[in-house]
Amino acid sequence: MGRFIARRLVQAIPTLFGVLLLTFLLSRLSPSDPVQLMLAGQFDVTPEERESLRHSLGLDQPLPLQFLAWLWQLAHLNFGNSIYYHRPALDLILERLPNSLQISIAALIVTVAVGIPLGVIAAMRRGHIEDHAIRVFSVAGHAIPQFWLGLIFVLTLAVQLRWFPIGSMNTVGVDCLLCWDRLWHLLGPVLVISIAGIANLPRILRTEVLEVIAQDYVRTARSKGLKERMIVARHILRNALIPVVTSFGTILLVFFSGSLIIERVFNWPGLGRLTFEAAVGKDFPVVQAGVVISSVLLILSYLVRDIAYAWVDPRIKVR
Amino acid sequence: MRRLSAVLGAALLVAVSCGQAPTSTGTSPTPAASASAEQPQAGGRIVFGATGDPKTMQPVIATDTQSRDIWDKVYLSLTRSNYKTGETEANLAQKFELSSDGLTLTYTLRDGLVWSDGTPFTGEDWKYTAEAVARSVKTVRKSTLQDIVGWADYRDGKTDSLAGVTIKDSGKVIEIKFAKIFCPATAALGGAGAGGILPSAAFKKVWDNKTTDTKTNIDDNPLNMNPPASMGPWIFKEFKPGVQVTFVKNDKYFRGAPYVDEMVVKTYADATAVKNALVTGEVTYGSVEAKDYEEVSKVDSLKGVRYRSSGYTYIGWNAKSAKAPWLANRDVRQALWYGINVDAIMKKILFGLGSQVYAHNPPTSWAYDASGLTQYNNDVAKAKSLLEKAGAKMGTDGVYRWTDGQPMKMTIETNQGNNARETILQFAQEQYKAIGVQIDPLLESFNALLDRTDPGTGFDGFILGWSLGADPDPYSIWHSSQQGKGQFNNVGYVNAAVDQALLDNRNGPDCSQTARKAALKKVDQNLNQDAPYTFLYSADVLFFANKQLQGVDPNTYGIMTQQWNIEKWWFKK
Repeated sequence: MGRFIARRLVQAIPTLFGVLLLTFLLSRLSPSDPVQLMLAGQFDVTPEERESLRHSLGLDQPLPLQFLAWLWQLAHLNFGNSIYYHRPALDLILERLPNSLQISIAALIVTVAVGIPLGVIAAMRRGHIEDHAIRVFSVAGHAIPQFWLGLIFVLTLAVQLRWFPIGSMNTVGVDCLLCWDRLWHLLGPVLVISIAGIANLPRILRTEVLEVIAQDYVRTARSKGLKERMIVARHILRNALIPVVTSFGTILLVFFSGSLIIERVFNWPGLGRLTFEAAVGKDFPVVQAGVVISSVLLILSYLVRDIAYAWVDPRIKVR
Repeated sequence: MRRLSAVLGAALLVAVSCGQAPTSTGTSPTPAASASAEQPQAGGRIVFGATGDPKTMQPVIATDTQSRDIWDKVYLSLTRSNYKTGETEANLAQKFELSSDGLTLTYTLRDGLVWSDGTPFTGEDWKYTAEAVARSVKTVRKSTLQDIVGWADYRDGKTDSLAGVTIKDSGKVIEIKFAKIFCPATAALGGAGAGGILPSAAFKKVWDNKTTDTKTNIDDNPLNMNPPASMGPWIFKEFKPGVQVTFVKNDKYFRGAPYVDEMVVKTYADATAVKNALVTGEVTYGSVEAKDYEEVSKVDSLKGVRYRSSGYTYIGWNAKSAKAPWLANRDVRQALWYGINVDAIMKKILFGLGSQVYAHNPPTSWAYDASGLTQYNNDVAKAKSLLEKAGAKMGTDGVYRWTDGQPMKMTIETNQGNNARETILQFAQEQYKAIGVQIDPLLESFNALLDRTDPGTGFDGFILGWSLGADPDPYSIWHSSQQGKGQFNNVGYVNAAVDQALLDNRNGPDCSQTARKAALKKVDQNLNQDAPYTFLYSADVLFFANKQLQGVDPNTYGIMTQQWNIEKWWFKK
């Protein structure tokens, strides 16, 4: 397993390099001049001082050299200062990161807890009303854009019916992490982000379960008189879950990309909202830091997925 | 850079408000602040909704509304504008007097003023703040103070103290000597140029004003995000980025401690989120956009007040544009005014909740006088004839060609996320097509837009707004000298008659309101004819507060957070 993890880690390097290169190029290709933005509102700056700042930032160097210098900075965890907040971009990101992880982890738990039973039910009750209902839900869950669902959630369940808060992490005056108030606030964004994942899982799982049900060892288990629940848990699910683990990659991607919009809709002070607002405000150091850190997290979560895959299916390691 | 008047762009805020004559402008259909005979009850929390985090909590370097909404809770000015009339009234100073020659201004402070940390408030705090402005490189407030004797010497590090300012009577009297008359001095200088006065005892630990070293300044230090003491009704407690800024009541506030225990400025993603928070009761008070007015009016738990704002929205035309040289031509600019249907825009965006403007001074100002101004009612034929008079010729593609043969095609830009301005941009694009002028719309972030529309040749048209203080001093916006980097005459407007009238308005020697009004009328008449802006409208403020909240009485010069009497607000249980 150790060698497998090491190999996967090495393979992640080109991906990371690609992300860094793309992030760097996109920010440099943007028409806004970082020096102009940094000096906005400072009126006593002479053109010479402007050029000297440009020089000190290395912006007068050729692009490849700038890229190398940037990589060197990143290696020292230096993402530069936010143009808007005048603080290190990394500090801003680290302040918001735990908030985003709360949504992502909660959404993952909900997706698994709801999606897997739905998949099993759809397969075990094939052709029945439950199967049809789950299929309709799957198609709808895929088709409905998250931002729309989020807005509708806020407008109906929060603004009109007042069943849920309209956003934020806690009620004003309450400040807690593990409490009902936080759970109540988490529910909206987590439900909206989970919908796509929940819609995805039963589709994959249903096919797999149907395939496994037809296997000889399931028939044998039944003929031995094992309880149905035991057969599903021990024999069917464990084998049917292998492709599901692969699909977690897509689910994680949905969480990361979804949080950009959903955090804004639900006023959640996370990494997604920070990056979105920084992008609109052309706060490049924060955008770069946000994109790089999200990408690293995504690459790491893919790694965890691969390890989990190898764990449930030992043949993977051999390959 | 010359002196700034009171200007507050949608987010760019340079408030130097001052007023000299009463002009009641409130149009409140339901007075929210009916004096209650009941006994006020203590306790509770007020929540105000802001659209974004503050950049700083220190007024010398602050330029945005979000920052102002924070620092104005703790740092006050010696004078303030009457919330209704705009007249200058006492605040930390009990008396203020401009000498008969207009060259000496004296503020006398109230007795027994103390900061929330127990340190006495003295004239040294005012002087320290003025000196901080002088040495700051990030501030946009310097011109307010530049006529003080010895200003340039202190700014340039030739002296270690601002010579024209003398603190007397154990810090109770501030005497300011001017090199020349400045009519709006009394109100403009109350905030030491910055708008709010800093606690010098605490700030001296991070920047010492008694120095000639101009390399040190107040611009970057931890206290800028952590106000150490308060003279206002609230004391800063904590800042949670992306979430809220929390304040607790200041028991030492000179008008008396607020009844309410806590004040929270909560951060929301945009105006719609603030509206939702208001409707659900998460936010206690705030204003809404015209499109939401009807919906919010129906909410039982809220009471509404509508009043006029002291500003306007406009399309600016850059006379120096390299790409659109026709903008230097007055007939073309008039054609662009005739070519747009302001009435239709107001119906679509404001639902009638506002008034059309034809020149700089808005209806709330004592200087307002629309008589004799051309109203530029939408007239496509007239617009076309003006373009042809200017020398343009219609091309085969329906777009006019300028005298040099190039098609009359230009960019209009505005800040992304401002629904009203984005709608104006759509209207402009459609309607200018009808008069043979092609528009490329461009949406930018607010900061990027301000940056791009700095005086110069690199932009054509832009949609922005001004919010003006009570004392009219449009020098920085219209004087021909104000076209340097970061200055506000970014449309390149030059008119010698206007230049003189602007000087008459601010430097007298006759500072009477009659004389100033006559000078400002000249400014308005010329602007109305020269059309450097297509002046659009002045929107009403649509203010709502929770019905349980008593004592709220918002009006034009109560500024955004309407906290002029916040210590008297209380919750009826």
